[in-house]
Amino acid sequence: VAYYTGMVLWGVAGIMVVPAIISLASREFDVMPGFLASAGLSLLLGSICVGFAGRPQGRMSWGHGMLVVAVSWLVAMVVCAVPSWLSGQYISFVDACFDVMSGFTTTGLILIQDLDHVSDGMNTWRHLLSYVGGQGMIVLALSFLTKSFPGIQRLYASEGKDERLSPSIAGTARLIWRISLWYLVVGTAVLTVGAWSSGISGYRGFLHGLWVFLAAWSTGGFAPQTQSIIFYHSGLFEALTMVFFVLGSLNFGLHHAVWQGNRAEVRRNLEVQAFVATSVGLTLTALFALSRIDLYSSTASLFRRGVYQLISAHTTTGFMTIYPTQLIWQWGPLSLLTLVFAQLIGGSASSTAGGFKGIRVGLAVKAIGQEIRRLLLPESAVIVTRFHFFKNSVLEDRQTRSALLIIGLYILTFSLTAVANVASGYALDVSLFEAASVTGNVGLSAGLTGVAMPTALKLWYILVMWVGRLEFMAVLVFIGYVLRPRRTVR
Amino acid sequence: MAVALCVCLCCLISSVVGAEALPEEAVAGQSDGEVYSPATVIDNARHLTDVTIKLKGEVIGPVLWRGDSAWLNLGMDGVAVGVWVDAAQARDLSTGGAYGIRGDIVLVTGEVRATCEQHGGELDVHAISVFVLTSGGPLDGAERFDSWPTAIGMSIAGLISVALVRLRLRSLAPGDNLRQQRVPK
Repeated sequence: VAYYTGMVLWGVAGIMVVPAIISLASREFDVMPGFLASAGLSLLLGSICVGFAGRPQGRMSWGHGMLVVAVSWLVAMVVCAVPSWLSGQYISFVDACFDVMSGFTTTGLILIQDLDHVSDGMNTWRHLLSYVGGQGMIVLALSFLTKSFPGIQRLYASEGKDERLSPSIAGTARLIWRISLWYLVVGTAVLTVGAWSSGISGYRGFLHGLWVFLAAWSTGGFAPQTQSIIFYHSGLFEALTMVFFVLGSLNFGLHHAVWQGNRAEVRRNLEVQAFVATSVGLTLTALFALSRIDLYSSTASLFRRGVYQLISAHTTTGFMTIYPTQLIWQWGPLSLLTLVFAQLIGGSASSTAGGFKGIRVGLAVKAIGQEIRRLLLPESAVIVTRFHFFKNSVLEDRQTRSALLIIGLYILTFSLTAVANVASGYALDVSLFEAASVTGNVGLSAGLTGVAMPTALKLWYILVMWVGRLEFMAVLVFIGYVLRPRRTVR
Repeated sequence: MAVALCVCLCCLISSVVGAEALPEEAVAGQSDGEVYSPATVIDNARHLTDVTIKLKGEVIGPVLWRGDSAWLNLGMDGVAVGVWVDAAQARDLSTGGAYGIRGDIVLVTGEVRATCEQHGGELDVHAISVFVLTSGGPLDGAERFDSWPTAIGMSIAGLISVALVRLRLRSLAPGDNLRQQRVPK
């Protein structure tokens, strides 16, 4: 575990060089030292871990794979919080850790102070965390820093991804990064033009294009300004961001299939069908709710505020085109409820999105249909339910059980977080909305998340973001590992 | 678990349906010339819609020109709101807030729109007049770590440690660590 954690820390140090370069380009010479010192610290800690552990031997077990991922995420959070903390933009180190975990998990909730006066280097760092976390930090570090090794697929799966785009996991990781880097170039170019057209010129427009792309593609939801996407006051810019966060919420396997010319996969894929069905259903419900209270009278308003917010929630992005408190006093209960459901469902498996994922919704619906047919048909009937998810499969009890278990764990975490919010003194509607946002790694806020939150609640949110992103199993293994020695002592 | 979810969601509906309207101090204050912050405008926009108010804030970022008009983003205490102004009103502005820069502090007299149909349902303020109270300038930002010698020292130490560990690892058998000497067979 220490060896792989050390490798991840070396990778993290490499990432810290990027904001240092941006600081240099922006002539923020007082910002660069924080990143360079943190990179040096990360290299040192990584060397200690790797040196202490030595070269691993034997094949990695599932338990070890999950433990590596869980521990690496925690250690990386603390180390990555160092440059954030050194920037002086955070009231406490816990707040810095909160924002880093929010970035890594592509959540997008923030505790940073005075965001409108943050340096270019720091803004690049925040958005880069989202981008790296969304693609898979562990697999990136390990597939680029080491040659393929036995058990790497267990690390890959433990980080919440299970599609294999090439015969080897290292190849899959590189393909994921190739896809993401291609979109990075195209997306940054497109959004830079969008930023220019909204009135932000030159180099600053490029930075806004880069930052917003990083947040959109990773469905992270960080924004360089406190007003999120409202800052740009541009319908075109909003539409462009929507294109990229919808693309980011799709399975990397789907991107790969389309790249390979297999466009039929888009139509046949169960997860895409589930995403379209839930998107249409929730959008119509939200539009009905907003029309009933006569909030927006034009189609443009309904699209720019209603549909945008809904899709931002469903893809777990968290970009906002309305102000947080407006959700509570303006949107009405039914619209709010629709957003809660959208946030919990989330995007696609093996994507940058959070939530309990469209494929699990699809499998759960298939399983319910199967059970209804079982009740209607004679007992001797053999019922076979088929679905297509990159290949034709027959629905097995194991898949249904796994999908329902994860959905159940998400709902349990959501409920516990809502209770924690209410126990901390927040109103019920705000508590439920924020609980769905943090559990689904979304980042929309109704105004609860802020520096005034109790520290215990901030720590709980860090835990929930971490658990939600790694889809429970890796963290449960970690908790089991932490508790095991105590039991032995007794 | 599903029951817990249903209970929570039912509570959400009932709590929002049963929510009482906010007190209208915000509206009461506007007649005697009270100056609002962006946060107060956003939180009380439903009471302030179509009401002419005075809003004070710092210009954040560049002025976003739109032909004969322009957008200003006015911020204060970590909350900002969009203000729609005539281009002529924005020409006197010299500085937008950014890293190390405090933007112009302005006083806007304008009309609040909770869901502005002209701007796609955005909550904004349509300015009647814009008055620069204080011109922008350098901002004493947060206290940050800016020691170049420490940063360079740490970076070099980190790079050397990686080189040493990688060199040493090459001479180790799988499973050995740096504290162990490899025993020749």
